[in-house]
Amino acid sequence: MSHTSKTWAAAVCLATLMTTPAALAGFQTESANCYKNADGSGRCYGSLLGFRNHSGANTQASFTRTSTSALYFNAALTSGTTTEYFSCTADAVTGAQWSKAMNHQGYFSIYWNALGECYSLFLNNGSQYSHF
Amino acid sequence: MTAHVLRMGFLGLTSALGSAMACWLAMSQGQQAQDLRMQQLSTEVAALRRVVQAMNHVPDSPSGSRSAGIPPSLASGSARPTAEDLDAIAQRMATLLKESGALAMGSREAAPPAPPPPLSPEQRESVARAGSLVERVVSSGRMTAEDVLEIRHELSQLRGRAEAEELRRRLVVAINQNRLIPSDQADGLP
Repeated sequence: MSHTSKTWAAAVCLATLMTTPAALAGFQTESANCYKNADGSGRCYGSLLGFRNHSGANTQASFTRTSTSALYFNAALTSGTTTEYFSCTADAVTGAQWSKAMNHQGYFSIYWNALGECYSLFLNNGSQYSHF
Repeated sequence: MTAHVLRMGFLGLTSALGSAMACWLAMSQGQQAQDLRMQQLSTEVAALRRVVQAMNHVPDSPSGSRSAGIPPSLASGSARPTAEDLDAIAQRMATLLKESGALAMGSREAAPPAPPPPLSPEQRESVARAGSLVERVVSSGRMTAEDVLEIRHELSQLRGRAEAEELRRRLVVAINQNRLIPSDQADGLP
């Protein structure tokens, strides 16, 4: 390789390095999962960002409070061409955490029983779950 | 050169001596201040004790103990409490609590929550209308955005009532049992 070629190759490498954006550091994860049993009880878990970025066109999840103070969780999970729907209304214990859940950007896990009552709500925030 | 070394050594020695003297002065002054503060605190505590004794002073009982159940030797702080002293104090406290009625209040069971007031005629009509709408929606297997708004309007008359919760739960159970598909356009549940 001639001297001129070497010089050009070095210049191109240097220019490439300078224009490449800095790599994002830190572990990130997002997920969207729901299942239900034969009696209608079930669980959804993941992060709201995970539901938003899920590959299913109708996938979504939400924690809601109506003007009449009704508290409920809704989710839809699309897999292929099938969409399944999930829902529960907060009991007294999970209802106490509802305002936190509505502002949550991290991981959540919510369970409901056959009567459609959300009986367990786990919230966990971490650097890996949100875009701060 | 030698003179320079000697001069530097003299300066270092002077600095060390000065520092040591300053430390000693600071420590001795701190000790004096602490002693003075302790004396002040002792005086204040003694004055407070006199005030408290004056406030609680009642004539001595025939047995020689005060009405609060504290023997004079203990009140003055000159003796450690014996088992008999502690027993006497406990008995005196129990007597005072019984007399004040505090023990009777504590043993009372919490009253059951009052039942909710009966539904007004308007609320009963809302329950009936919302119930019909929920039945219709579940039977059809689909819930449109209009259905949600209509049921929500009826349930708004039943704020915080168990009847409203029951109707919402019927929709939720139907959704979870794959008997009802909510509309994608609907903003949640009623």
